[in-house]
Order: sequence, then structure tokens, then C-alpha cells
Amino acid sequence: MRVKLRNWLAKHTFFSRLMIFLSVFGPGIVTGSVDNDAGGITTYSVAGAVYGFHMLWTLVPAFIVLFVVQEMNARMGLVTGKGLADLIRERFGVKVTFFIFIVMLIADLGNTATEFAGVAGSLSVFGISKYYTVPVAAIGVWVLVTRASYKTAERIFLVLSFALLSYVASAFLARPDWSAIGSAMVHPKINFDHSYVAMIIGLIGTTIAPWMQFYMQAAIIEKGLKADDYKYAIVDVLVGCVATVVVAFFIMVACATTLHPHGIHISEAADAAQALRPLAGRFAAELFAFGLFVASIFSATILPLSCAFTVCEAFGFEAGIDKSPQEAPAFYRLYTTIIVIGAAIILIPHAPLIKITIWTQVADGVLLPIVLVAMMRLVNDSEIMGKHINGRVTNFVGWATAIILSVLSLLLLVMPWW
Amino acid sequence: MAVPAGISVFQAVYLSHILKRVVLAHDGSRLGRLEDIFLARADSPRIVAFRLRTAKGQIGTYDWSQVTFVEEDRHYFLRVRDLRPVALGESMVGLARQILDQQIIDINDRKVVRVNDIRLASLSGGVYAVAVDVGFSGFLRRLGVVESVNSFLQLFGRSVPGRLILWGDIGVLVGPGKKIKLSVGLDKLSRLHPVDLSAIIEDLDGRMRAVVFDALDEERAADVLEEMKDDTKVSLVEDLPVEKAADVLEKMPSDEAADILGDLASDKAQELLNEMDQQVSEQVREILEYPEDSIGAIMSTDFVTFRADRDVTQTLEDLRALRPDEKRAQRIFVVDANDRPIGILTLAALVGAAPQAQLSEIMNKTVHLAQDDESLERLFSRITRYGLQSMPVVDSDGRLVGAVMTDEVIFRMFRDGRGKL
Repeated sequence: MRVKLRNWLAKHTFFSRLMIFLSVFGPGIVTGSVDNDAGGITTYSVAGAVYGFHMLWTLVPAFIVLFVVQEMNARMGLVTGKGLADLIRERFGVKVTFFIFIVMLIADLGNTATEFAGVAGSLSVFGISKYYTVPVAAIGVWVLVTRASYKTAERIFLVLSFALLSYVASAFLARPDWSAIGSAMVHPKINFDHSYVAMIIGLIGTTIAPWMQFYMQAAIIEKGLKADDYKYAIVDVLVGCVATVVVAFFIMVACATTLHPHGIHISEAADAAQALRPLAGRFAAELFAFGLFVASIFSATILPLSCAFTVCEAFGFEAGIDKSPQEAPAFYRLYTTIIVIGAAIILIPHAPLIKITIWTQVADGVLLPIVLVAMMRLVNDSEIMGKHINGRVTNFVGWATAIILSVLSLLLLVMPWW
Repeated sequence: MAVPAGISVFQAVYLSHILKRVVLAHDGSRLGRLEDIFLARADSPRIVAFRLRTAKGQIGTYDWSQVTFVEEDRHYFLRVRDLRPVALGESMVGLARQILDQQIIDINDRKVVRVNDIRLASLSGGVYAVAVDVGFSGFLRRLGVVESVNSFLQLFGRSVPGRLILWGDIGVLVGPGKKIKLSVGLDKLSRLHPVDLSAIIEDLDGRMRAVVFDALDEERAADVLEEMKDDTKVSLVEDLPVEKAADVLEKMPSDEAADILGDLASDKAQELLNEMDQQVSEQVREILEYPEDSIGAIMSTDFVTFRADRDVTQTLEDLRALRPDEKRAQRIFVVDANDRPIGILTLAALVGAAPQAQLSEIMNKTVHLAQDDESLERLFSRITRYGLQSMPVVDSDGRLVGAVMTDEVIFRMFRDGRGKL
């Protein structure tokens, strides 16, 4: 189908390029949108509220790393036609695979819990108790994925996630001091304590969540893209990265401008909603709730599915939503378990939703170097990648990130005892 | 390390038990660790060489015939009488590097599985790889926990599921970057039903798909291709070498081939059409000229025609010589001098008729015709109204150009989501 379009529009160069792009786009942009999930929105909001403009500088390296990592994923998927889980299993054997995926499973349980926390938080703005919203959402997502076509749902969510652009408007309407933003980005005030290090790791972890890398590579393979589609796939990835970072930037600015001056540190979702006051006035809460809700449900649909799929693939169990529960019992059981545990965590009375969310993103940030090192080894192996191994710049960025994050994670562990 | 006292030579062992284990010299000194063991060729499962990594990190490949397994206290290691270097041949297959953890095709269960472990046996002629372990117990064994887990499960009267596949029952394997074919398994692979084969091939990743598909003969490949999902079909044809793709497309019904070619980039499609047999290529080109949703695009050009004055005996002889398959046998038409259909012939009518009867007497003269540029919707309503099984398709001159089967039309309509019963 995509190539028919290509032929038909061969005469109009601009349109033909646009058409090819539109038929190829998907993996990068969906990943970019899902990136701003409940964990993302919360983390960026807290970062802005607590540190004002002095965390914005992290978005620059985050963007570079995000793009480099996703480009590697895309390249691996296009060249090998295999998923990241498969490649890790085939290259590194059972022990390494087991270790990585057990850790990832635990991290993703936390991430799933975070998404449900987002659902709970967003609807709590309307006064609905989490004891109603979370079970209903969990069952709803489960039914949607196992019975209905989640692909259509994916597209609907994608469109609805444009609601997050409300942050952009809000940030401008709050009339922040742009020169202050500029100077904070160039000369940030860094107070190198435990919570600062944790926040950095959390920001990186939520922007470059390991589970998203597996998801994106799988999406690229599912689309049947080939090495020839590289140019267009990379544009798709780039657009996704830009979308992620732009939204993150404005969330931070909006929160920094509205919350930070008043010392509001966000202990629950309603606090974060205040950041949208400049745009929506009285309706700030509702608008925020809507955006957070969409983002949370979107990710709650994709994340457990992607996690169950990659873990089953890695361990050699049959997996896939197109298979029946009889054909792929482990997959369905795992998927259901992830959703149940994720929801259960949130339903614990007085569960500190914001704290759970932030620390889950930190866990992602700690897991990232491990996955990143595995990726670097794979993408530099010419037996796997042929002539498409990494260039020097990519290698530098990749290894530097892995090292820096590892160091930061170690610091995080060691700091309380200094 | 002194020579162990309770040495015993083992009959059978798993690769995971000996990989990375210590290799001792005859005098008991430590030579290094076992990196890999090699078969001479993919289809000959006898071990001929092994690879050693010394403590200093040096790697060498040596003759296997000098090796014995030793077991002491549940730990396995190898003893080498004499370290004889051998050259690493092109066709030699390293079990750890190229087979362990790779995807293989399980012929008997007809699915794609992953090799978790390999079972080796010491037979009179040497040491052989006799089976692969694709079950979860193999996975746990690699982690070193299978025994503990099993003891735990035995409390409940259960055990970890295991699954061994005999070496001869394995289909094609592909190692990283290299192509290996097990000719033994390949025969069995080709004997699978095309529907099963296509499901298996769809489960493989891109590179393996092309290799497995390439190994099938054209007839089989064409059947398998027909069963696949459209996206996979096109993707596969794109990946095949041109001659092979052309050969396979030739063996398919022209309308199917036209569908696939229509979805390819035009330069690739041209290349394939040029490579294909002239006659077939022309037929396909004609079909490609029809608008996508018209009858011309889905009709079959595979039909049989006779003149009305032919008698039954001659016709039956002709049909025997032609040997049409089931589908083609449902498209037997009687045409006039201008190739216009005047009657439909069923095998039942032929068989039940008197030998000297003329076709004009036994043919079904009620002929509903379809136009080649007619839309599917119109045709669908006519087919359902008259309850027809097939219809001859004519061009603007009324000449017979093909035939459509009702079930194909229905299939198309539902696939595209347009049919309403």
C-alpha cells in the first residue's frame, strides 16, 4: 500500500515525499507522545516546581541522547528485522537476558503503577475516588487490549494527546521571564545534593525510558520497514524526539512560572493543575486532568503490553495479541499480572502517588545504562549490523551517557551515607 | 590441580554443562576454558573440533578426537590427551556461537522456537549433537537453577516442562550473519502444508524468512506465498533474489502475481516482469492494467475453453491430457468462433453424458456474464441474486478473458470490509 502511493505521486516531489513520510511515520511519533506519560508529566512538573528554571538545561543533553538512542534502535530494527529482545537473547545468552528482563519487569511494574497513579490523580481533581477510577481503568484497558483493536485506540489517543500542547499555551500566557530562562539554561544554579541527583536521573529515565526503546524497535519491525526507509524513519524519530522535549520544556516552564515562586512543591495532582491557570483560569484543573488522563490511559494501554511481549520473547514463550490465550498462555498471564499488580500498588490506602511516580522514573534511569550498554555492543557488532555499525559520534554519545548515568546512579546509592 | 580420583566417562551431557568449563591436559594441568564446540557441517552432527580460551585470553581451535568428558561431584570438565590444532573450515558450525539461543523451526509442532540447550551423546563413532532443548527446563538449566526449581515443584507433584527435538527434526537454522541449511530437515519442511509453512515463515524475522523461503522449490514457494498476509508477501518478494522471485511468481495464478507486483515499487515490478516467462508476464501485465477494484483485477485467467461442436469423448480426452486442477476444472466454458462464451460446462454433465453427444447439447446455456471493468459491488449483488458459483468475464468485445469464482469475490469483499450479507 505505501509503495502504491509512492508510485502514484511520483510526479509531485514535495507531495510524494510527504506521502511517503506519512505512510512510514508512526513508531517515532507514537513513542514520542507516549514518552509524555503520567511519569513524564509528573516528573517535569515537579522539576519545574521545585527547581524553577534550573533544571531546563538537562533537556538539551536529554534530547541529544534521546535522539541518538532512538536512532540506534531504529537502525537495528531496520537492518536486522529483529526485535531488541531477540537480539539481546541471541547475542548475550540466557543469563544476561534473564537479568536484564527481570529488572525491566520490576521497573515496568512500577511504571504501570505510575500510569494508574496518573489515572487516579487526574480523576481525583474531579473528586472521584481512586478506588473507583483505578479498577475501572484497569479492567477497561485489559478489555480494550485483549478483546478490541487497540490499534484504533492508539490512534485516538495519539490525537487526544495533542491536549498536552495546552502547556505550551499556558507557559506563554504565564509570561515567564525569558531572559531568566536563558541564563538559567546557560548558568544553572546547581546544588549537588541527593534529591538533585535523583531528579536528574529521574528526568533522563522518564525521557529515555528503557521500555520505550523495546517498544519502538518492535513497532518499526511490525511496520515492515526496511533499510531503504531509513531516511524517512529517522525523520519520524526526530519529530517524536522534538515533540517529547518541547512538551517537557513547556511543562517545566509553566510549572516553574506558576508554582515555583509560591513554593508549591506538588504533593498531589491538584497542585500540578495550577500550572495551567494562566491558560485556563478556573478550568486549569479540568484541563490538566484531561491531559493527564489521556496520557495515562494511552501509556497504560501500551506499556504493559509491550513489557509482557518483550519479556516473553526474551524467555522464549509464545507471545502476541494476535494469538489466543491457549496458544500464548504465558503472555496473557504475564500481561494480566502486570496490570493487576500495577493497579493494586496504587490502591494501597494513602499510597504516595507522586513519590511512587518519581522514584519509578529514577529506577528507569538506573536501568537505562544497562540496556544502553547492551545496545551499544549489539549495534557495533558487524556480524549483526553489517556495514551499518555505529559512527564515532554515536558511539561517543552512547558510551558517555552510559558512563555518566552509571556514575550518577552509584552516587545516588552512596550519597545518603556521606 | 591433581588428577581427580573418581573420574568417569559420560554417555550423554548437555552443552550448558560443559560450556565455559575447565579443560585439563592429560597430566591434570589446566589449559583453559571451553569456548565452543564445532560440527564439520550443519547436516552432520558429529563434533570434530573445540575452541579453547586460555587464562591469558588466547583462543585456539583443536581436534575433538582427543577429548574425553569427566564428571566429578556434579561438575563436568574436559580432558585432552593431546592438543592438536585444526583449521576452522568455512562450513564448520560452532554450536555455542551459531546454534545456541538462535531461532529454529520445529517441524513437528510447526512453530518457531529458540534453542535453549543442546544435548550431546557419546556414541561409538564419536560425540554427536543428538537433540536441542527448546523447553523452559532448558532455559532454567542455562541459569543453573533447573534442579532447584524442579525439587520445589515436585512438592506439588509437578515439574518444569521440557521439550527436546531430535537433531533430524530441525528445520533450517540461520546463525548470525551466516546461512546454514540442514538438508535433512529441509525435506520435512517442504512436506508441511503451505498454510502451516506460511504461518511459520511469518513468525520468523526478515532475514530468516528469505533464507527459508529461498530453500523451497518454486511450486511449494508459490503455494506458501499465496497463504500469507499481504504485507508479508510483498516484503518477502522484495527480499528474494530476482530470478527466484520471478520463478515463484510464474507458478502462481496470474491474478495473485499481479496483486503482489502491483504493490511493489514500479522499477522492481518491471524487473521481475522482464525476468518472468514471456507468456505469463504478458498475462500479468494485462491484469495490472485493470483498475484495482474491478473484476479484471481479481479474475483468474486460468480457464479451459472448447468449441460447441466438440463431442464428449474428445473433450474428456483433452481434459485428461490437460489435467486441470480442481479450481481450473470449475472454469470450463464453451465459446463460439469469436471467443464469446455461449455455455458453461460442468464435469458432472460431461461424465454423465453419452460419449457421442455434442457439447452444445449438454452445456448449460444460461450464461451470466461479467464485464471486466465492472465493479465488485455490482457483481456481488448479481452473484448473490442468482446464486452462482462462477461467472465468465468478458471484455468490451464480449470475448472471454477470465472467470471469477464466487468464493473469491466474497473473500475480497469481506477482507476489504465492504460485504454485507
